[in-house]
Amino acid sequence: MSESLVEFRNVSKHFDDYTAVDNLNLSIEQGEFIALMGSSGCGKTTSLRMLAGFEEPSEGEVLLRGKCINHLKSYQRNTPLVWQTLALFPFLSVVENVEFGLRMQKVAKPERRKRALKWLDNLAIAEFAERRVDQLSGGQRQRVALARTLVTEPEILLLDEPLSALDSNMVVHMQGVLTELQRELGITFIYVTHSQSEAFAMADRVVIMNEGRVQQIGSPKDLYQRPNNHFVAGFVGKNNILGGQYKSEHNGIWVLAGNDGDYKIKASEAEPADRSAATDFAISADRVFVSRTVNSDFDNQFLCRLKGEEFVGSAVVLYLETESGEQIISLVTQAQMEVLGDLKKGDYYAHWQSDHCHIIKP
Amino acid sequence: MNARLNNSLLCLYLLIILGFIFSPIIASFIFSFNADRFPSLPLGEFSVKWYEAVNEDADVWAGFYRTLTVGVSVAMVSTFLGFCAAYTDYRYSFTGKSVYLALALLPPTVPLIIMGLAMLFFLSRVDLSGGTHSVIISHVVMCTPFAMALIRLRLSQMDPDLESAAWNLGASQWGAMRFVIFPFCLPAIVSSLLITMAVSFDEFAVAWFVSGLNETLPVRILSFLQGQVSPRINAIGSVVFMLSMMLVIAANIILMRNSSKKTTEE
Repeated sequence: MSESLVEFRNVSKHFDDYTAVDNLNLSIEQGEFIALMGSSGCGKTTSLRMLAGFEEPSEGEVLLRGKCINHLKSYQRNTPLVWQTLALFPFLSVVENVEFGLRMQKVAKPERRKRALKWLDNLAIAEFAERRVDQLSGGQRQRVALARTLVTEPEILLLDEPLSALDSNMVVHMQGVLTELQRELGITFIYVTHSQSEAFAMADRVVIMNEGRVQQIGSPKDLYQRPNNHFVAGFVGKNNILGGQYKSEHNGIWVLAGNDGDYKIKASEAEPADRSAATDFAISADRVFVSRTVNSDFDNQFLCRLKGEEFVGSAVVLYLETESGEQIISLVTQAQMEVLGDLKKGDYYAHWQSDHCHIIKP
Repeated sequence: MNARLNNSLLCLYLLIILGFIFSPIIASFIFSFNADRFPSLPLGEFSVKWYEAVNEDADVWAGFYRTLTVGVSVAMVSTFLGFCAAYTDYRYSFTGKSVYLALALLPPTVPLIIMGLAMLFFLSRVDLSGGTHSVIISHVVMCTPFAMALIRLRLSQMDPDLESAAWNLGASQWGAMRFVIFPFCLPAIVSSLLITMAVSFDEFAVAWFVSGLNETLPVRILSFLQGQVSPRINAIGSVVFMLSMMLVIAANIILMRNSSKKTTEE
């Protein structure tokens, strides 16, 4: 087995009687862009802080290039972090901020000035070199913070919600800057965020955490199309979660007895679920289509009433209710809306393909 | 109209208060240039003869140098101790921290007479009374809380991630202290030096108890008063007032310049 750049091995972190991280196992490869995502208190930041050396694991080991770094101080690791608050030094100029890491490595002044200026140039902020940090805009400060961590040419960069203080246009712009930078440098980025759009737009792999535990690790596409438990299905995108008792199987299609009749789902080839227990599955809202009549192209058809609609720009979210009172949401494009006509009156059929259903663990 | 009236009444009130506070000092300042032996109106002719008399008095100069020595030493020692105490408070949490803080900030609340007597008893016990060093020790006790309060305030404005960020960039604990904490606190440190020096410069009661034969300037002034009421006191008073005001104003300018920098940042 080849050696991972970073490995968390059975790592837990307790604060008094609170468990911030619970038995984390994660390998991160050289050159990977990985995002740790979850809502606040899920343990993502604590995990990052253990890697940066600000917290020591209560149990387990953090390995960097196969060596346990549990007891190394932060300054012995070279795992620079871009802070949520940026934590730029207000009493130093921009270029002095960027030089800081080199100054700590006792690099001679002309040399470190040269290297700092090169990084400012790479990030297109060379013109502000002599300014004070508080004279810069949010996006410019962001770049200073990046230059300051990259100047020591680390093989790994940690980012803790670095874009959370920027307005939305700037966030999208900086996402581009970060992705490009990561590709260019080929170093590992570990990016902590609560924002799905940031994680999914940039990362090769996303780790979804909740209450200190990893819920699922996968590519953005994987997580989106195949959430493997209730939490991920509820957290990522817009999913309908339905369920029923296993009845029969035919050509890899399972039939589940649900409240509104039979659900047909394609059994997951990866790990077969327990057939005796009630089975839940997720169907993404954009895979649920709505029409006036039965459409035999789809193998799941349910009669619904419209409860509400929500306009979300290019699409509309329809809130539907089946005869048994089950809630179903459907994401419909504006073009499809026009075909449907006036929605206020009458009944509809919600339909979807068994292929798009995905069994989830409780 | 009403608001305007209120405003001018408020201004008047402020002027009366300021007049009340400063008129004795201004009077002293004016009479220090008055040739008459006794302070009375109308004023006599303008003269700097009291300043000349003070200038020729060797005891006054000795007292001044002593006060200066004490002031500078006290400023340095108490600012250092105050910085250490404030940093301890900022960086660590430990049981009994509130007690530690209360004790550290206590000395200015002790009445000066009590403080002076206690210092005298204690210093003579350990055989340290009656010298310039006794005044230094006592003043350090009194001034350190001021230094600590100033530096603590500055540390409380610091982004808590700043020190960790320095470690993260390869600074050892000492490196972070030297290159981040110290430069960040520098304005507070300078103003603490000035303020503690001003406090020590003015302090009379405790110095009177512990200084023995090594009188500081304020103590020297009292002995003047005990012997004879001389306009020389006005001259000394004016000089001392100017000096300590200069220190306090300088400290305030440094602090204010920094806080306005802070507000433009937001």
